[in-house]
Formats: sequence, structure tokens, C-alpha cells
Amino acid sequence: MIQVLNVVKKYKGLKALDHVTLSINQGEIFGLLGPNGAGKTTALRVMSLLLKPDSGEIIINGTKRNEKNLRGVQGLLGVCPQEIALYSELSVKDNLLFFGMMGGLRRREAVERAQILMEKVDLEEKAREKVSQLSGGMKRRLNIAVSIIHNPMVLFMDEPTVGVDPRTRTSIFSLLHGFKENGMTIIYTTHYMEEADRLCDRVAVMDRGRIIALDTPEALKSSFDPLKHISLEEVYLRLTE
Amino acid sequence: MRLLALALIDVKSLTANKRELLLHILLPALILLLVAALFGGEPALYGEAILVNHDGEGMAEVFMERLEEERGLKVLAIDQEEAQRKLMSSEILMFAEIPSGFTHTLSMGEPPEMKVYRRGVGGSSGQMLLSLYKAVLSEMSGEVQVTLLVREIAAEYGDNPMREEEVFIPFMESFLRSARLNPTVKVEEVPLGRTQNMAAFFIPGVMTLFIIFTATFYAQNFVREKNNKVMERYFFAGLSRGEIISGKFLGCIFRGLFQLLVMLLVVVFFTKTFSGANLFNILIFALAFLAAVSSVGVFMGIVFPRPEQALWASIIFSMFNSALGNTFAFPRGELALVNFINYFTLSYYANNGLRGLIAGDGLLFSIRVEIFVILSVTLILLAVSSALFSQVENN
Repeated sequence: MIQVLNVVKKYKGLKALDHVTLSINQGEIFGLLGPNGAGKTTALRVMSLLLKPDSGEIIINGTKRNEKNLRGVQGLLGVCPQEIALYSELSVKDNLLFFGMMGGLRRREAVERAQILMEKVDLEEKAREKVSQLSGGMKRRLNIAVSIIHNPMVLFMDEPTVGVDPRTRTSIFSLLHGFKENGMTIIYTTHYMEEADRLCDRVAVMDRGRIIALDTPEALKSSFDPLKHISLEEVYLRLTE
Repeated sequence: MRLLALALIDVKSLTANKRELLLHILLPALILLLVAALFGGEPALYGEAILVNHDGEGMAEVFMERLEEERGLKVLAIDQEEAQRKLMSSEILMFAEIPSGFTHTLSMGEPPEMKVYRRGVGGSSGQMLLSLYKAVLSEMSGEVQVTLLVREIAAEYGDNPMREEEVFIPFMESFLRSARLNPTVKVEEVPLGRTQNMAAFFIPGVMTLFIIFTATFYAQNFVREKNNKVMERYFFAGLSRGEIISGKFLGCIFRGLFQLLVMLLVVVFFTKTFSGANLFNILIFALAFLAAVSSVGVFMGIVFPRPEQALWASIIFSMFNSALGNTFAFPRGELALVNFINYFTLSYYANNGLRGLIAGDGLLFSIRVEIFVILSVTLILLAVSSALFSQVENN
């Protein structure tokens, strides 16, 4: 679904991505792990076409990224930022309808899709409430729903569970599993190893702009301890020490 | 269609917030009503002669009557203490003192004396009043001297002084009155308005001030949307940067338009400053100005990284444009630098344009320079905004 080939991205001479190469399959939940400054968010932004790499190639669904086809490819992608990217004075339903119509849906389609998503994220009863009046967990769920209102093939999520209570985290996980079952590809950055272990099909561990390990959580654990008594967090710590 | 939806979401956000909406509409309406009430009639200083009458005799009374009846001034006689208090607190800029013995001096044909107390030059109306005082005093003095001369000549011819009451005094009064009413120099007065309309001067200033502040205030919304990644959602919706800039620019105009229409209605209904004939052109011109300051708002939203910075920028921009730009006063002629800077304010062109439409023939063609400048600024700022926005997002 997504291929990243030898990508380099520099900020003021500092390599945020240093010849990164990886491939993500359709319907996969892919985790990007690493300490602060490892290059996770830059990798996510390059893959989601928000940032232009200095060199290397990004191929999405068989289409190479270039300035001409940017708009066509962007429609396949959805991004759920860490921030609550919503209109706080508008209602839950109005936010979904607005971003749906922005994503190219007709009003009737947007209404139908908003209804489905409100049920999925358990906000049906809050449809007419202003976002500013929702709890933190509700806002997070709506943030995700708005990101996929236009039915993207790939969803990028930048640490969506930061500062979220365990109940909301569990509900986000079940949402993501539901999306995966519908064939959506999810690329996910997180600091929480337990979360990545539980959720991701494969993970890439990044450090100083490089990918230092890439495999399934099980395989990574086996590579350090064949009996798998080791946790993903311990693997991560050993890899990044 | 998506562009319109993007523009309308800003209006919807505004209308969803009842408190903000109330301030957005009520505040300018209230200020305009206040201006209309304060400046709708004759300005307070115009033609008000403040006098302290220590003489209290005939000639002082005649002096005041002539100022009031023949020069059309409003004469206000107050005591010395009150006059000085008002002058010290700048409530008035000038007052004149009629000294005791004024009638006696004048009746003897000697030059009358008056003392004038003033702050600075007494303001422009003070200078005019001073000229009028001198003119009336000179007139009265001249009349007394002519009367004394005629009396002297009559006495030389041995006319019966007993006939003075019956013949001489009525004759002189009639003669001098006729001379006053038929001066050697005539100035024709052509009234062009019922009263001097100060509201017509101040209302465009208040309107441009609100239009500027509302549009540039919007910059912080733009910054917030950038920072909380709402803008990124637009990218993934497939909107180009140009479409985003255009949508936000239109959104800013729609928000301001809402307020502009309310202000126009208030002005039309409560001040009659805009008539049916020029109202449409005023609306068109005000819209062009709204577009110009909306482009400033979008530009600020792109340039500043934090909402507080954008807010301060909008406050400073609004203050700069209202302090200058002929908003509430014209800069003095000798301040060449201020006059030069004035040309670099948007409000200068907006105020001149609006006042031109109110006072002139009401045709947009008559303010083509102002329209050209305003539209050029809009286009240039949108082009620069579009270029900068691309650079920021595409690094």
C-alpha cells in the first residue's frame, strides 16, 4: 500500500530521516516507535505527503509522489492529528458533515456517513452537542471519526492515545480494529510499547532518523528471547540504548 | 461549492457562539448610535460665545445682542470663576471678559477694551469668535464715533438740543441700522445642508474602524486552525492551498459583511447620513474595503505562528489605522511626515472614499483612485499570502 524508498529529510542540516526504507501492506496496523526526536512524526508527515522529502521516493497505492498527482493521492489518505482538529463551536454532527463535504461527499452521503460514524464512535446521543461541551475522550473519538469521514484507504495517527484515560484508550483500540477489518491501513506512532504490542501487526523502531528494527512484535521479542518472556518495551530499550 | 462551504463554516462558527455574535453586532451598532447622538446636530463648540460680563450696562448688552441676533452665535454669560474652571479643564478653549466701565468707555468714543482668556489659540472656533468680537466692537465703536461727530456738527449749526430725543436719536439709529444691514461688501450665503453634519464625518471613521478590527481579529482564528491541524484536514480533503486561502478570505468577508450590513442599517435608520441614492455605492465600496482588510487578516494569520501574536498585530494595525487615515481627524498640514505616512494606511482611502460618496455625487467613478488602491492591496496581499502559505506547509 505504501512504499518508502531511501527517504532523506533534513532540518537545518540535521537528518530527521536518514535513508529510511519500509513497506506497509494494505489492511495492516503499522506502528512507528522510538524516543523523542527519533523521526517518527517526520516519517508520518512524509508518508502522509504533508512534507516533501529531500530525496527518496514515496509510493502510495502504486502512485509515486510528485507535485502533479498530489491532490489525487491525498484523497486516499486520512490523518488524525494529536491535536483536536475540530470546530469547537459547532456540533458533533456539523463537524462530521462539514469535513465530509470538504472531503468531496455530497450532502446526502455525508449525512449517511456521519450517522454511521457517530454510531461507531458512540456519539450518536451527542450529535447536537457542541464539541466544546464534550469530554476529552469524546473529543478524541470524534477526532478519529472526522479523519475517516471521507472513507480513506490509509489512516495516519500521531500518538492518538496521549493523555487519554484507559476506557477511552480501549474504545479507540476497538475502533481501530474495526477499521482494519474493513481493509483500512493504519499507520500509528506511539510511545506506549504495551499499546503497540497489543495493536500493531508490525512495528518499526526508529532512532536518530533511522529504522533500527522492523518486524512483528512477536518476531522482535523472539529475536531477543526465543521464549518470549521479554516485553516489547524491553526490546525497545535494548535497541535504543 | 467546497469553497463556499469553507467560507460559510466561519460564519456558522460565529453564529454558533451567541456571546461573540452579540458583541459582533451590538457593539458597532451602539457606537454608531452614540456617534449619531453626539454629533448628529451642531457641534458643541460651534458659535458658542462664552462671556463674563463685569459691565452689566447698556453697551455690554448691545454687544451680546449683536453677537446673538446679527451674527447668529449662541451667547452664554457665566461668572468668572466658572469660566476659569471650564478653561482650566479644557471644557472650553476660550472665554472673553467684558470689563466694568465698558459702556462708559465706549460711549465716550474711546476704544473699548476686552480681555480674552484662551488655551493655545483657542481652537479654530475660538479664532473665528475673536474676529467676530473685534468686528462687532469696531462696528459699535464706529457708530458711537459717527453719532458723536453728527451731534457735534448739529450743535455747531445751533440745532435745538431739545429735539434730540424726537429727531436726532431715531435718525441715527435708523441710519446706523441701515448701514449695518447694507454693508459696502456683501457675502452671499448659500446653505447646502440643514445643519453642519458632523455625523457624516465621524460615521465613516467608526465604520472603517470596526471593519478593520473585525477582519484582522479573524487572523487569530486562522492561526488556531493552523496550529490545531484543522488546515491539514483541508489538505487531505484535496483542497489546494489557493482554495484554502480563497475560502478563508471569503469566510473573513462573510463575517465582516454580517456586521457591515447591521452598521449600514443603523446609519440609514438613525442618522439619514446615507440616502437611497448613494447607499448602494457605499455598500459596494465598503465591501471592497472589507475585502482589502480581510486579505490583511489572512496575511496576518499566515505570518504569525501564535494566536496572541496575531491578536496584537490586529490591535496595532487597527490603532494605527484609526489614529491616522483621517479616521477621526485630519493631520495638521505642517506635519509632513504624518501626512506622508497617512498615505500608507488603508483607512485613509476608505474614509476618503466613504466621505466622497456621502458628500459628492455618490458615484463610484468619483472615488476611482481609492477603489484602485484598495483593490490593488487586496490582490497583492492575497498573492503574497498564497506564496507564503505554500512555503510554510511545503517545507
